[in-house]
Amino acid sequence: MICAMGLDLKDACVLIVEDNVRNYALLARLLSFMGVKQTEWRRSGWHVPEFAHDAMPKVDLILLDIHLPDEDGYKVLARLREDEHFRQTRIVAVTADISSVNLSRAQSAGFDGFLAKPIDVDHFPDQIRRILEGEAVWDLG
Amino acid sequence: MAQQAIDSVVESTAPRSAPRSLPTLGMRGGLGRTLLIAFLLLAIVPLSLLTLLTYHEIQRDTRQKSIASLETVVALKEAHLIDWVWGYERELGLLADALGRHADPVAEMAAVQARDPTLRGLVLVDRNTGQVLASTDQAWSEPELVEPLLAAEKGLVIASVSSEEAQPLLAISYPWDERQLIALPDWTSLQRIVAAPGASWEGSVTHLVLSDGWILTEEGLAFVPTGELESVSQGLAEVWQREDGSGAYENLAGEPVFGAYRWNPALQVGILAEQSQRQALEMGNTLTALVVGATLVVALVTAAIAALVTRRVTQPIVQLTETAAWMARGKLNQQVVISRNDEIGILARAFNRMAAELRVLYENLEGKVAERTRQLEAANERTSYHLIQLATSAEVARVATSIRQLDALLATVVQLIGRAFELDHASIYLLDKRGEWAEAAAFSGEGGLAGQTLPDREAVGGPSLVGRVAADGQRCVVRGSELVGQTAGKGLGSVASRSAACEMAVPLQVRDRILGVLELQSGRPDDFGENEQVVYQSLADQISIAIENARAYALERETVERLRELDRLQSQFLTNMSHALRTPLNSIIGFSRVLLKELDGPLNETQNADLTVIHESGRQLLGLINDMLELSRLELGVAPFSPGDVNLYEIIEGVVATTRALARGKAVQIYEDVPANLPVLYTDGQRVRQVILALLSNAVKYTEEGAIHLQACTGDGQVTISVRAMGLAIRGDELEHIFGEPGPPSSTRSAGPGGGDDVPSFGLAISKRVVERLGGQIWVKSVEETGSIFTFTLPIRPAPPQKTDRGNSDEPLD
Repeated sequence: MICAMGLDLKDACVLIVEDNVRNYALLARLLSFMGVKQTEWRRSGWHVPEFAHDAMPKVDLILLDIHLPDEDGYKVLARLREDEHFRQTRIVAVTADISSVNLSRAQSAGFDGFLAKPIDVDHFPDQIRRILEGEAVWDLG
Repeated sequence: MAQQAIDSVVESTAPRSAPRSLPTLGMRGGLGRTLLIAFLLLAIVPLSLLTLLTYHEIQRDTRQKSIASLETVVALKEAHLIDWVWGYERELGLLADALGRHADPVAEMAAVQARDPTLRGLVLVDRNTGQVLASTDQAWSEPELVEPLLAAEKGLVIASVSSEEAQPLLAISYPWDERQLIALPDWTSLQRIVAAPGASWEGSVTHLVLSDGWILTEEGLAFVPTGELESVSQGLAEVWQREDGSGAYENLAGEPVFGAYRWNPALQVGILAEQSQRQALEMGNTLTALVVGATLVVALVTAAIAALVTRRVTQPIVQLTETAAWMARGKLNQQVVISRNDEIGILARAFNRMAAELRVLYENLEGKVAERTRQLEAANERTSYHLIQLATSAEVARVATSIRQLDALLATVVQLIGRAFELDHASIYLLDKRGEWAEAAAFSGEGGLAGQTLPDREAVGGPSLVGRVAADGQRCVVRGSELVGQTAGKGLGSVASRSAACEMAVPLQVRDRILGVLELQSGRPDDFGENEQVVYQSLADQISIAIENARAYALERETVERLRELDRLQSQFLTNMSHALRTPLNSIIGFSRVLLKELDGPLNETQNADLTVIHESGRQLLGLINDMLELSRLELGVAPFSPGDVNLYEIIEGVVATTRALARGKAVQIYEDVPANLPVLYTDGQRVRQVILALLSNAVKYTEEGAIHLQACTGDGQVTISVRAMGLAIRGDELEHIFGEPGPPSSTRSAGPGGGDDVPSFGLAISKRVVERLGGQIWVKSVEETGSIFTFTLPIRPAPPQKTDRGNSDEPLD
């Protein structure tokens, strides 16, 4: 599959920050069905940039859970945004707290999108594709 | 101080006496002038009256004298005149005799004329014919000339001549037999009689008044027309009317004169004597001048004497007054120097004596003032002490209400008391919970500074002062040696500072419960008297109440904190619970969907059906959990609300469109009756949307066939929105609980065609809480047994000046 931006989903590098292994498994499964080959997983925001520097030459998309141990998704986002390595990276919030208040908070915090949990399996591939094409996706479920 | 008081007395009286002293000094002119004027009036008025009277008397006298003299002159002149006429008559008689003896008339007549030079001529006339028989002068021989003299009686004849301007004729007629002798004397001879100086009184003028307007004066004959009788002088006028008299009037020249006049009927001549009033009164005026002059001199002398006497009287009075003024200003060592033996001398001596007594009195007064000032100072001190007590009480009361922290409160109070009453030391002990120990809670002053360690606590009921008072609740004072004994003995009450002369302990108690002890030490041995003890007791009572309040406040705060923490925990629990429940659901829903989408391989029909049940149930469970969480948040008041300007019409349109999509495939029609001009509301649009959606979904869900009406209208300051579902029947006993418990009406649930869809819903319960939170009301009514109307209202109110988002402090959920 070729995206409009010229990014082949096969070449896309996606980082999932998610404390629940089953949620990660679901996301990873769905991404792999879409053809994404390179999917990395971190259980928390701890040392995420350092990890990416070492293990990922490029990061196209980060699916970032908000409810994380130690520090929440907003703090992780702030650190990622300061890092030159993630300048081209799309960062999307994935959360179960789907109030409009949280949505607008995510918008103003600098996320590129907002996906509600539980993941809508039917729409997920399309949403990811749109995000990678540069479109902001704000889905309250 | 006494001196000050006196000074202040002097100062306070001085400015009051200053303006008063001015009129006293100004009296210098007043009394003197009055006396002088009185003197002059008394002397001059009688003198003036006397002078006036004298002048009048002299005037009257002079006039009477003058008139009397004039009358005499008139009488004299008359006598002269008669004499003069008679002289001529005698001469003519002699001549007649001579003529009777047939002498030569002419010669005889010439001889007579020769003897009398004033005689102008003699004429002898025949009485019957009027013929001139003889005359001494040829001029008289014309009969026309003597015609007016004919037939005249014997005597003086003054005959007017025919021509008016001509002087009348003066003649003496002497008829005898048939003849008549007429002597024609010159007017000058008569004039001589008139002007005769010897006969006239000094300064008088005599006139001979003839009958027809002629007057003979010293200068000669003059004619005054009788027609002007009114305008001529009174004398002339009366004489012409043949009257006698006298008076004061104006003469022909207009000069005021005295006059006397007499008409002689025999001679047919009036005699008028006049004298100028000015001349007559000249002498009287001289006399008057003399009298007035004398009066003036007397008046002047009197005035001078009066001035002297006045001065002699007023000067010492002024001197006395000035001295009195000085004394009024506080200069009491004044002495009046008047060495006289009269009344004023007596007055001065009395004044000096009075001044001396006043000095003595004043000195006494100074002593008294000093004494009173001392008393006043003492009273002042007492008052200020009371004031300090009052102020301290007020301050303690203020502190008690303003400081709620017990430690801060007690520290402030002991500082306050120590400072206000200048105590060496003040401390507060509080009993511990078991009432065994009195523990030092706050202290001020030397006790804590001088290196002596303050005992942390005293045993209640122990030998120390604090211990005793804490046990029996009676205030107690220890002084001097007692204090030393106590200090030397065991438990040295509390730590008495080195300089402390007495110590007092006051129990802090509310009702009969002892809270602690207020302990005070003072360096003044006579402190803590009965009165002061009462004051300290009242302070202690205030402190006790403050302690109680502070403790109650602390307890209350603790409770509030605990409740708040409980709320927070509950909210946290809910959040965690829902997160914990949702995380596995996430997998159930997600993976079942993955399977259903045959991403892991194809499914047979049965597998598909089973998996669908799993997936749908998972979704329903998720919905229930979400609703439950929402309901809990609403109940706890932590649900987020974000009010703003809301266009209700747009919201309704959106919701109706969504619901129509839901109802697709059912025989259900949705009708809306919504005016486009609904007011813009200040409320939470998402919440309103949630409520309308819940009501419409509910209606659609339980209506298999029929119409659903949505109606909106405004009135009574609110918007009313109702959803009328004809297929949704609710039993009467369910009406009460429909908003309270999850799930649709059981009757519908069992009777409804879609009985398989047996899922309870929190929608209505949430709607009720949301509507109430938005300030509206929600209710339901049964219609025609098979239908129902759900109605809710929203208040129309303007945006508040500042947003108060009560529920926005929501924690993120994941």
